[in-house]
Amino acid sequence: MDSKKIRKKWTSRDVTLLVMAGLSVVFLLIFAYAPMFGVLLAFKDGDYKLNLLGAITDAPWCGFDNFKAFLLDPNFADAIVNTICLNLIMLVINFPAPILFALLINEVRSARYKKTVQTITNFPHFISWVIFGGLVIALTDMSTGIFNPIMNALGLSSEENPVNLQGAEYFWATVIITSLIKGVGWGSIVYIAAISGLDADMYEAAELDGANRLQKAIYITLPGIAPTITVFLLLSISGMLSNSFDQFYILQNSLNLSRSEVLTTYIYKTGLSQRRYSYASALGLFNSVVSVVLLILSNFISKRATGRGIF
Amino acid sequence: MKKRTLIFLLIAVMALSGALAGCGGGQQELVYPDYPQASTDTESWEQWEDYDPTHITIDWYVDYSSFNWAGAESSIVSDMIEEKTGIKINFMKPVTDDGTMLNTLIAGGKLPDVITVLANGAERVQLAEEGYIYPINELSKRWAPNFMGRIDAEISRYFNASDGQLYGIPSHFYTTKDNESYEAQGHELLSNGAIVARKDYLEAYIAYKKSQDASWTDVQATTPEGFVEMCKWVKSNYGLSNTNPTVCLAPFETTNTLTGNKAINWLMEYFNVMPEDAEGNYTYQYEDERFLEMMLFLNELYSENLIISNNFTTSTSQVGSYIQNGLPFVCVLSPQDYAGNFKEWTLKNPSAEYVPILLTNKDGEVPQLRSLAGNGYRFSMITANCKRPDRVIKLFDYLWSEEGQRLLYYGVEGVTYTYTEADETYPYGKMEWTQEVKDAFNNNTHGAYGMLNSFVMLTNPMFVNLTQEQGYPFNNYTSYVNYNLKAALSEYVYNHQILEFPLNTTDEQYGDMITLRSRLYQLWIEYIPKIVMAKDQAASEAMYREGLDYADKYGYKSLTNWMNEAYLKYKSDLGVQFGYPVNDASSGYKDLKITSIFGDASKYVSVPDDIVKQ
Repeated sequence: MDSKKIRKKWTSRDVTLLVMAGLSVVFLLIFAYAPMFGVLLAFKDGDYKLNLLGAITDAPWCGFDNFKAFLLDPNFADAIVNTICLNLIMLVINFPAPILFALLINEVRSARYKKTVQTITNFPHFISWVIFGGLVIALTDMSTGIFNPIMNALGLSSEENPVNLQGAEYFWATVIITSLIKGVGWGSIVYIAAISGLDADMYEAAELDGANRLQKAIYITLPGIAPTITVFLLLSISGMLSNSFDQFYILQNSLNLSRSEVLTTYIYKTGLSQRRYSYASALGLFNSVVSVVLLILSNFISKRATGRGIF
Repeated sequence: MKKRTLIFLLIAVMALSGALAGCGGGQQELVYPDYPQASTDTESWEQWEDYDPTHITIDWYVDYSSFNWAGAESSIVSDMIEEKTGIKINFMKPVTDDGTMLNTLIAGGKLPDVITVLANGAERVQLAEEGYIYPINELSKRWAPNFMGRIDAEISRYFNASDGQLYGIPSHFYTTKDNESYEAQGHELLSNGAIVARKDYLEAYIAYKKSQDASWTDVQATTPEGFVEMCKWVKSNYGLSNTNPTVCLAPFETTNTLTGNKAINWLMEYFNVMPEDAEGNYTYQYEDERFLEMMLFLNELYSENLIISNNFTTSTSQVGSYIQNGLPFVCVLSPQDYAGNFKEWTLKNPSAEYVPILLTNKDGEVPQLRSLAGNGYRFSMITANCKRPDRVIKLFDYLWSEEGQRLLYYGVEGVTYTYTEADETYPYGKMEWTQEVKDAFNNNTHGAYGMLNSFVMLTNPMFVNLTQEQGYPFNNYTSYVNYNLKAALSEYVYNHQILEFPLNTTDEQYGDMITLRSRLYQLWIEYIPKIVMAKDQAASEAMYREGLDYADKYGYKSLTNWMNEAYLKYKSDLGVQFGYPVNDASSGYKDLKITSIFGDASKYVSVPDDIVKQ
């Protein structure tokens, strides 16, 4: 049979879909693929050049010198340690938090109360880090903020030994707590949606079998949303070398730099502020390669262990 | 199939080209448009309508986040600029001072018509040397033939690029001619930074000490030991808590890699940390033993909870808020940056106003504070992207002229000021505000006029000083408060301009050395809090040594040697042996004495009755 004859005729819906998908492809081509040309900078001596395009095309090749440079740089060591450690801690605390929150919200009977809680917890997500971070800085100011008096009242600090919450020793805790405040409500939306899609018959059957609410959550809800959890877990693992740039940049100061300098802020500073374009490109490439490796590895492990993966 | 592949490839290539086009404009050939040349018969700006009477708008990027000219959009000043030159200026500025916006504009090939950058930044030289900027000489030759004659030879000498061309105009360049005129008027320049203290606490302490020991003098509180004792007494006597910034240093901003920390810079002057050795060589101040002494002093203040750790996390606005609420007993900063905050506090608590004080190193050496006089602060340049360089050079010519300077500071003659012709004492003439403006100052509505030096990019502050009878622009209550925060220390102020020597921009090491200098500043910005907050003096010194070791690894010695070559050459050109008065036997430094912690209190200027305190 002639293949032309069996080809389906395009409908206007198909064209609409193609255009919409095409826009995404164009977006990716422009903003994700085309800039990859800049990866060449990582292997060239293009630091401090004014003309970036000229640096990519004309600067001399320098092999892996930029990679060696950052591997020997003590600032990089600090940044990578901070990035990995903090992401590991956040994987343990911040990743399950929205899941737990979604499970708890799911158990709330009063619709009005449920909506109120969801609105309140979602709201911080819509405040930019610039404003949110500014509020945090103002509230934790040792001299004029309200946290020190509260901590004094609770016996956690004293007038004689005040605590500087903006110091290095509290930075990770500040990041984790502020991320939770800002992200738990919003992060739980996808899990709440996944839970609402679960078959209600299973809950009824479990009730008939005498399962309590905790047992239903553990044996029905959690396994039901496991595919969603897996996807987000794998994405979180692949983002092990990334952090919320805005959050870190806003909360960073000269006192907490030893704990607040992470790869994203370090790349930004060396690349855009100091014009060490090649050095920053090498760092960025290193970051991307490690992320891809982590994604593939975690996907592989997940598939082996649970039979689920994202590709 | 082939067709589809072709379309896909075409899209990909277009996308790639588009993206790369946004990644860099490439080095540009300087093109001089074919507009008619200006004549020398009249001023260049008076000729702008001759061949093109259309008004244009230009973009002007000021690489300074705090830049704020209230009258930019519409004021008698901006209107007059447009009337005189046919140009309306659209100003742009960054959100932060970390250089990212400027670098992005450069890398993206999106430099606007005019840019203003730091005069001592590496970009100024690199942009000019790589063809991104029009040379002023060439533009003025064509379209503003009198302009170069207005630019003092010292400016050209200082800023000329390797090709002998001048690529921009500095603000705040204090010429020898102006300095001499100012001295001839009998005025002294103020210091740039200062240590200021709350007068009520200070007087209470002095009274207490005298009640304990009649022979005690307040000079004893100027030594590091006496200073610590005084701060401890104030803290204890007034119940200042450990969260109170009893001694408040200027903020430590992590992105400030061009100048280091201001509090440290000013303290180095009080502690006489030598910028030049006895033989006249340029030194690396961080390796001076006096610097270590100063750091140990700060460590002691921290150990006594006089400096609090919060000081290393505060921003300029937070420090301003502390001052406005009178929280610190002592501040080490540039008082002019907080003039509004000091004013607010003084308004509410006149008896507790902040006053300048003296502090010395442990040997009691008289401090030497650098004056406000400098060799340029901002540098304005016309970029190769400028659409109408023929018109913009006329704008520069106008703003730089005496007429333009009068406009920028005083507004419009007859409306906001009256003008008395120049004479020997007042080389730029003498100006006095009209009653309308005096009333506006008192009503706090003067901002609408758009003058008062807010247009900082092309201003000469000495023009303002030299046109005022008192040698200082006393306009409103804030200006009096600001002046009195430093005036009493003027005896200890020296002209620092020799130490602001031009670096050898033609040297192939220039770029590397400027980068190294920034890295070293950044290193100390990170180390200083650690040194100050070390658990004891031994740990503090160990931390200092560690920082110095890193500085050594970075190469501070090669930087110092490189800078010393430029320094010695500059001094040789000027025919001077020393740039630091302490080393110069003829400077009169040895005759200087400290007679009071307040300096020379007779220099205070009382606020006249017709100035409303608001």
